[in-house]
Amino acid sequence: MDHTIKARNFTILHSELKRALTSRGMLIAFILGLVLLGVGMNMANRYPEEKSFVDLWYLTYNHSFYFQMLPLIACFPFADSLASDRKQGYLERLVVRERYKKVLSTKLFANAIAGALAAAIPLILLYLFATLTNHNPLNHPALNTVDGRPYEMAELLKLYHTMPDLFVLVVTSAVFIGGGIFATLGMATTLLVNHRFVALSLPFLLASLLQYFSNRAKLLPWYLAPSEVLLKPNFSPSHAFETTNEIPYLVILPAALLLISISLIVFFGKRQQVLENTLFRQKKGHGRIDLAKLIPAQLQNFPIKESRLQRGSKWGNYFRTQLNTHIRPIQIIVIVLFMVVLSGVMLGWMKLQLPSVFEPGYSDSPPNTWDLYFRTMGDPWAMALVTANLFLFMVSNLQPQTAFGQLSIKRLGARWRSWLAHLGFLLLAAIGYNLLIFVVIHLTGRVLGLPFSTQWSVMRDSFEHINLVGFLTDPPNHTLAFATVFGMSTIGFFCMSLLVLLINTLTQRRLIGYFIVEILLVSSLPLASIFLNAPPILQYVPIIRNLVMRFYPFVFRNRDQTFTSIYTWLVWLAVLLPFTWFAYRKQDYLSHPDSD
Amino acid sequence: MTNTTILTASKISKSFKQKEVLRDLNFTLPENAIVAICGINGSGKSVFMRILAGLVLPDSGTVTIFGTRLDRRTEFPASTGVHFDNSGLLLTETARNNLLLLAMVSNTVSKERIDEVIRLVGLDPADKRPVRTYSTGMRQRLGIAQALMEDPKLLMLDEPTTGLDFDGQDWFHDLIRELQGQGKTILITSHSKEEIASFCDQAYVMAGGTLKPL
Repeated sequence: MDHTIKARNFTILHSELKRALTSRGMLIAFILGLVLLGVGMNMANRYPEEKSFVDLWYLTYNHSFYFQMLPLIACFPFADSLASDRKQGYLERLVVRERYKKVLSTKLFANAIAGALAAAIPLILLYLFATLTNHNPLNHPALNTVDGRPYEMAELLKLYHTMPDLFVLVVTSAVFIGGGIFATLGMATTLLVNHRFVALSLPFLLASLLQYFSNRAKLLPWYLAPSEVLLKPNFSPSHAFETTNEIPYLVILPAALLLISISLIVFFGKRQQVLENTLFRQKKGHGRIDLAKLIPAQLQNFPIKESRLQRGSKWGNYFRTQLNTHIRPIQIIVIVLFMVVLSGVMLGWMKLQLPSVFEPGYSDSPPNTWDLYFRTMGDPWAMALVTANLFLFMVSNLQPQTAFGQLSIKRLGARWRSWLAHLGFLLLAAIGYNLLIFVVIHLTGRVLGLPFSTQWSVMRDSFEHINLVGFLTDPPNHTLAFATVFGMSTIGFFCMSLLVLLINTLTQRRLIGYFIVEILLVSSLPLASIFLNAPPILQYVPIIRNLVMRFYPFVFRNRDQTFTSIYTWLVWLAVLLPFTWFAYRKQDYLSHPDSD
Repeated sequence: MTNTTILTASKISKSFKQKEVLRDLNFTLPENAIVAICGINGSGKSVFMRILAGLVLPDSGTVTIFGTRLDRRTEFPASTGVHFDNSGLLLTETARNNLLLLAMVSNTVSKERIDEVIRLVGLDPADKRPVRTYSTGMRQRLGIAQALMEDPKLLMLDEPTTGLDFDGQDWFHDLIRELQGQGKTILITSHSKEEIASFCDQAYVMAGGTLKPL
């Protein structure tokens, strides 16, 4: 009997490990890791030729943005498997043959191993490559003054100079453990939202948020930045991992992420919940808890006007039904809440950086609500993670058509009319969304003590703190500044939403377009640095370059460069409009479940 | 049933990736008939119905309904009501609001007609509950109501009795006969041979991507 159980355990572990390690996702992760390291090595080759193998290894790791993409690399191999196994019914087939707890723990273990290996193997290969091809002596003085070596990293610096192989092992181990933790988090989040793209994107977005709020905005402690835990040198002026006494702090983030994962598994990973696909455990005598019931009916839909019956054109009425079915009061409330919090954070940051200008009587023209608007809309991380993110999520449900949408299109009479209505919807949504956040930011600023004003404030003299550039403030041109910021974000949101629409139409999946475009958007922040010395045309490829006025490394911008961003969006439109039209004309409306 | 043909499908083929679902399929539908298509799950019944409704584009072949060929100029057939396996309704809206939204697009339906079809299928137009609270049978009834709303000459109903109880099925059969009496033509798909034998004028079985008389 014991032998049978042991054999069975081995079989499921063997089977899950084999699935994880030979998955297509593993291959994608592997290729992504190698491509990133290739980019990093290209940057590292600009350093003095005298660099040793450990210089080459660490400079490549440091310049490859490997740490930023690590959550994606770790989650690609197997983190989505629990969600897909649940949807395809494979999980049920497993649990009739093996205890549920064993199945879940085996899956988590195989996923953690696969994520950790996907993260670490490219670095091990890089180590082999560096040791085999680089025979320079260690610690050449030519490398003493270059950026990118681990100056700040306490005892690790000694290892770097005296036992470089051990140093590589320590950093690779940190990446290995980090990969396993992110992969576990990815799989655990699918217990909350049973969708494979949640597994792929949520750890990545969470890590990006932590990196932003900890390392750049400095609103969270330094040790919550993934870059610190993954032992990447920190160039920001903030406090970072510097002394041996601080080593215990580096355990906090991994422990917190593990705790979140374990909590998700404990609270949402019960057999009944997972197999019946319910979020909350069903108790005797109680019905299934429906999340939709928690939202009041008035907030779920806008009222429908009966007076529109038998009036107007079919297209006009279809357009109105799209507004009715895709824009909800609850969505607008959530957007307003997010933007209020974001504006408050931005104002706090402005006060932290330039406290003197907020002193009473400092100037005749104190900071006003416009400053907060420019600051919030011009922050690249806030744009990528909050402002644009919310918009893309809001409009991501236009395609694929629901069963109701199919019935509407049949009544509309032509696919191209639906395409035209969706274009109009997205353009109107982009304009409306930008107007809404314009109003919300101004009102939040007013409530928090900033005056309304039509004049430039004292912040014009330090325009970089409100994310503006010189040609807009000198000579001062308020209207042009607003029109540029508003125009860039509106056309950018419209173009990105078209890409979401195209991906959703081609894949016939609802959230995939949102996740892909959001990942492209967040990835564009490091990508902009990679393209720093690329030909000018490539410098405008990263999305964020065309959404905000200034960000590192592009902190300056003149009028022509601003027009180049607008031209870039026009190129997007020239490509996306015919592609979406073609995708709509060729679209098959297949069976789709009923939806909200 | 008359001798006039209102629907002709010729040499319809359709594949999804590598899988061929329909192969050179031919089909005609006489006016004022009740015609059924049956077949095992995955045989292509629903895909064929969707091609007739203009929702799925065939790889080759033509569909002509009421003398008009479905093509790029006329993508969806006129005067045709459709109901597919899912009710196709917004779950957070009431039954009446669902029909109101669809009626706004078709632009030919009055609010009195909306209330009338809701009552016709045995539901209450004043019911303020969202459709998510409805049983499968109630959703099926509402789906049939939206198909009837514009008073079409041709009805295409994909497995309309799925989820209906025995009384519901009897009600549906009576409704279909009544609609035939009003001069309408009805094309349905079904799994039940008994159901087909009980009230259909013609029946076909879908197998191997083609239709054969039952």
